[in-house]
Amino acid sequence: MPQLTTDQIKKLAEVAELPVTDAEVEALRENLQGMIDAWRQMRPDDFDDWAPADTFKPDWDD
Amino acid sequence: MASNEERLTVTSVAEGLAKGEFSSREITERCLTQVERTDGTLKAFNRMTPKVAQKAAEASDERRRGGRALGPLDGVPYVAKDIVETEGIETTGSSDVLKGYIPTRSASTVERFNAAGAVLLGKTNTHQFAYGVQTPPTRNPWDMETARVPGGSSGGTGAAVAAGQTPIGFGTDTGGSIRIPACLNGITGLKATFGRVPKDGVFMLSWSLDHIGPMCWTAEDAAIALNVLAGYDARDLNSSKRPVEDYTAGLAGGVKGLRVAVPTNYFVSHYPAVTNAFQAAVDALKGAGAEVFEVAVPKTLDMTQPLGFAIVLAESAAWHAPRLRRQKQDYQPDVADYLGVGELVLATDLINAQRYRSRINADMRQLWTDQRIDVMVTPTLAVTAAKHGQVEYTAPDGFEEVLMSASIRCTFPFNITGQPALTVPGGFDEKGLPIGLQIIGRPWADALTLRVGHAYQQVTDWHTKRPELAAVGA
Repeated sequence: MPQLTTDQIKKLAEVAELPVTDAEVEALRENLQGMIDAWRQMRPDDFDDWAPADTFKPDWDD
Repeated sequence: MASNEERLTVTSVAEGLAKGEFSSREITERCLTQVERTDGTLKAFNRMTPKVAQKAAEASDERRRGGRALGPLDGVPYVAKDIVETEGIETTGSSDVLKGYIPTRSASTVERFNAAGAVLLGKTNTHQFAYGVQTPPTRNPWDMETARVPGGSSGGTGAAVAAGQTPIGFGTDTGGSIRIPACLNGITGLKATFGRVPKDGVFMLSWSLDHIGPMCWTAEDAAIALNVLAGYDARDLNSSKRPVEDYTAGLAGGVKGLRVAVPTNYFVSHYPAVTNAFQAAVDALKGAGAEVFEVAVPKTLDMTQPLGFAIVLAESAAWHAPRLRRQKQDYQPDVADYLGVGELVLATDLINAQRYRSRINADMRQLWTDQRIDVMVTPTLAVTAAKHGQVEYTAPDGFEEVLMSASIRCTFPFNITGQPALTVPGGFDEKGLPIGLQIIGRPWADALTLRVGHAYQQVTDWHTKRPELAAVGA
């Protein structure tokens, strides 16, 4: 898994104009890393089986 | 047998009012007194609205004296979670971020309850902006010795109902926030099908996952509430124009012949008290005539939390972005952390999460169709109430799960699919902490889901149990 660095998070936070202190960057990095590790599983090689990102409506009978 | 006043359900209060056992003014005063007596420690309320309540109660009594009572909710007290806007009453999301914010109109759900004659007692605490499952500072009324969480994010409403402060209240549910606190407080909670109940005037956590619904003691009470709450409102773009049913009409239909699916994977608990209570609930449904059978749920459900969090993180960050820049110091640290992470979610991860959501929805639809499932039942939570400050659970078999995952694992899938999901009381663990049974239907099968809950409550008495704190004068 690719690992985020503290510098990368600092740059992302700057671009987003996110109000974070240096002390908060590390916690942000850890949280985001955990999420990204999980999200990588939503990037399979075979995209043919995947549904489009439709607007969500729970209409099973339509 | 407990009196109508002691039971303090919607049905019992309505019956007491109809029979003249007490007036709305009297039952309202009884509730307000109970809040004053218990809430110093319980902290379910964010703010009380006694003048609003007394005025509404007097109007209700006047209607009843004139033979113009509006229906079963007329004169019945209720509470609203503090992310639900109430005209002229401060609404803050239990935060300093919106301190002093007084809405100029109410959420449509509040308008509908008020129009039905219900009496607003006040606003209840939420995990800040509904973004969490602990609801500090509220405590769980089933264990006032140990400071245990009431669950969240609608922990204030859950604790208030359980403690006899009100017969019913509003919760909201993005990943389980009606069902989790309902379960942990030993009450009933309904998340109807996505779009069934309009959610305008409710602070947004996730546009595509949020629901609002009733928390009360019984499926019958939830059905009475849904009769008032359901229906299209143009102010909520997700609100459905599908015809509204009478959700109380078929409640007594029972479960004989209904196909009830019991998952063999994903919804597992590692706690014997929970698994035993769940098995007893399944046996009760079987004893009532249901056709119970096991199913394996789609493996794709394992991605519920990663994909769900991609959506919640990004959508909530979009809503809070301006305020986070102006008032970051006013956010709880855990909420500010989530919002910060949310701003850094890649667009491709969010899009893939939405695609994966469509896939899970298709998989569940296929399962329901192939197996001819009427309802599915699961434990509502695989655990019971944690202590405040506890960050993870370790089961007797050594299985470890962080608090958030343990809280939402069984509930979150049905926010992803939008299916109706009801939790009803299903027993207690060895410490006397409540356990819940979750009943899930096909989209728009809200009436059938409530019918199964009602049938379960005809053959069990868990919904009649009250914590000591609920006894007036205790």
